[in-house]
Amino acid sequence: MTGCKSDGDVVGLTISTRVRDDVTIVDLRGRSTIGESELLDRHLQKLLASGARKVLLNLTELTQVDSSGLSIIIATCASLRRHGGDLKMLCPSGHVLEVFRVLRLLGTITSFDDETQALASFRSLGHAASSS
Amino acid sequence: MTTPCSSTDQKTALVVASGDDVDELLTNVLASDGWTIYPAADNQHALALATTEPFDLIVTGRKMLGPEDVELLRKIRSARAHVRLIILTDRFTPGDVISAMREGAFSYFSAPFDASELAAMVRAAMASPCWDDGIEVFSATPAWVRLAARCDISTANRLVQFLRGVRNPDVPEGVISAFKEVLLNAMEYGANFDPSQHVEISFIRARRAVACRVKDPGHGFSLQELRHAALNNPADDMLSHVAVREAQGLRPGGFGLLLAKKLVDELIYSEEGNEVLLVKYVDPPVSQVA
Repeated sequence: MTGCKSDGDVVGLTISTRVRDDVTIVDLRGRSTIGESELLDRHLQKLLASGARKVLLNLTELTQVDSSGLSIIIATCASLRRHGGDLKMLCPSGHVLEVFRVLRLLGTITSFDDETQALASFRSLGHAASSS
Repeated sequence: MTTPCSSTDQKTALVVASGDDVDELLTNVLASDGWTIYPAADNQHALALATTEPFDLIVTGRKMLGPEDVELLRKIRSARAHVRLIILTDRFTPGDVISAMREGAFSYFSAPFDASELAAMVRAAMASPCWDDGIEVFSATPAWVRLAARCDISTANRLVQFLRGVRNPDVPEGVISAFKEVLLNAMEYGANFDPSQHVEISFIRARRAVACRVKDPGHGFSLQELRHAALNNPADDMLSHVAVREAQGLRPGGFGLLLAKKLVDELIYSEEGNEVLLVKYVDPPVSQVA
């Protein structure tokens, strides 16, 4: 291969949020590495402050993650669990999946390949976890 | 005599044509921040323009050879020492990358490269108000590079990109990721990202292994005492260090050393803890198997 590999966007990290039932889905696109991860940190902190307790991180279009991005995801997960909520992942792949795999974090944070199944998995938490 | 940094508000970039989607990407990134873009057909054209205009940033085209771009860099920097120049090329050798580092290139991208990585590097170059190098090469062969790097994130990212170019294809990308983790760790905990401080780095390629040594200017630490690092988590609780960090008022973190350790075969710290060696065993190149 001799070309320029494009992830379709020249922005380091873009974040968008949508809500399905009582689950907040955070769609990530690009890279969550040092320099960009602070944006993710601020976004997730705002979600927690606004009362979100069920968070699904859609990693389908996240191409890279390093320890800074990973640490923010883990810290958010721990914080949500303390408040009776949870963070789960949707479709990590490639380099991102490899990072979670080598650190054996796939047993700590549940990951799904299907959004419907991921959303259904939050039902066991009940509505009490929907907001603080 | 060299000219100082441009002091005008209007920033200008000279972009040598690559003739593909890279040109569009560069135009989008530069124009989005209000930069004026001057196109050049080739390096000869670029040199002619650069001798009359004090460009803030120059990006070479992919069609030129690596040594031709380094020669362009050498000529331009002899007159305008503060110019930031990013080399893009399809054809290069690890020796070309080392030459580019020695001559003070801002960065070096050899195909294939990630568009978002290039965009991020261009933005880093655009954000440098008056750039000086920050990377000093003490000695370098393709098998052994020894240098010092200024303790800031931009310099770390530039160095990592250079080492991607020096790396042979048989060396896994994970080695570079591991190096980046220990490099940033050294810059943060050994120097508090103080740009007046430097870390020492050696990148060594042996026949069956690649090794990276990083030495920071700090007083070191004891791995066993790092309760806020995931490295010391019990196997059945990968989140235990998170609570320690929160109690200590630390930002989210603690996975860098563990990730580095998992991506290489050996991670060895000196007794003082301010020097670390990464080792990854690799199969020898096919050309050496006989």
